[in-house]
Amino acid sequence: MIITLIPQRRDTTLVVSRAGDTLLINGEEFDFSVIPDGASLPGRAVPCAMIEDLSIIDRIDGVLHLSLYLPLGANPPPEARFPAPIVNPPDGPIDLPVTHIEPEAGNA
Amino acid sequence: MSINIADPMAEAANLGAKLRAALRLDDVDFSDVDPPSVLGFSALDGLVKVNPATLKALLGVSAFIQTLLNDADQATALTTLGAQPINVLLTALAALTTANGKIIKATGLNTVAMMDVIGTVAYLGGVAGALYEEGSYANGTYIRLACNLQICHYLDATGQSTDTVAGPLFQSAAAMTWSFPAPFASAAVFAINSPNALARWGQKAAPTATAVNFRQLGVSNNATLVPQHCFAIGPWR
Repeated sequence: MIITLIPQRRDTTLVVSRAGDTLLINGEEFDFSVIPDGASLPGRAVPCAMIEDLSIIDRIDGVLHLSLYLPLGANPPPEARFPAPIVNPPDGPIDLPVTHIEPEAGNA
Repeated sequence: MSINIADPMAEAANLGAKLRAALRLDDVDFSDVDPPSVLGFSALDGLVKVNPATLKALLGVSAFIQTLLNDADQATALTTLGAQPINVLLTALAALTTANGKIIKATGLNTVAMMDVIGTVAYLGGVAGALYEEGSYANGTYIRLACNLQICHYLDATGQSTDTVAGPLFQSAAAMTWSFPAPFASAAVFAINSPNALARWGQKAAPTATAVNFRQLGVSNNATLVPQHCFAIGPWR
């Protein structure tokens, strides 16, 4: 599984965990095991605000490829603004970049 | 200290002498004696008959302040000082703490506040955040203005080819989905891709509020990947 993170300015958060081909995205379960090898699924078929309608979820050589929006608040650090893809994350909660740095005290 | 009440005038003169010594007034030139009743104690001869010019000099009163001392009223005094009368707005301004990168905005009649020029833009029946917001992400940059305009730009350095027949022309085999760095309010957004080559131009499918699909069109079957600038402009709230 390869998850591409697309940074986008949003006031929401993203919490993802994996169980095989199933992703729990912000508390909602999405089972991608229905996509056979070589097939693709349009993003609009997945009712999830973190998956772009125009994106494509596909399985190439047995590897599931999908992209998720990484919602960024104010003042995101570089690793959130230019996120690396997540390759074969283990089952369980997926580590995501920190998307918000609290402003220093007295600097608000 | 005992007071000789049998001769109050002599006693007053005695006290005056002591006071003079204490105040070191003996150093002052009293030769130019002015109205003896200037302080209402004409009986204390010698102590109160102070030359006004000498006294002003002794107190360090400058020539400028002397012009203030004889001003008849507040308006004249303010004019002398070059000062502004008390004003609600000026008082409110004086209470502000300025900082780098901030400007002063009016929040109502005679009420003011500091605001960021660049920061998080918010609009709650009025400008509630900064004047504009900006961000630079892997998928491009955006500028969001308080006036409800947002512009996104992305330089697609990879580019696209035109190697698939499209009627009499050729187009990119697959669409390039550009997710905007910041979402728009709705799909009512103007988006355009502009390839950096002659005989190539952009085409797009209907955008969503968050992304758009681009392809390039060309007059020839050309596998060369041509980088392109991507723009999206529209309201964000």
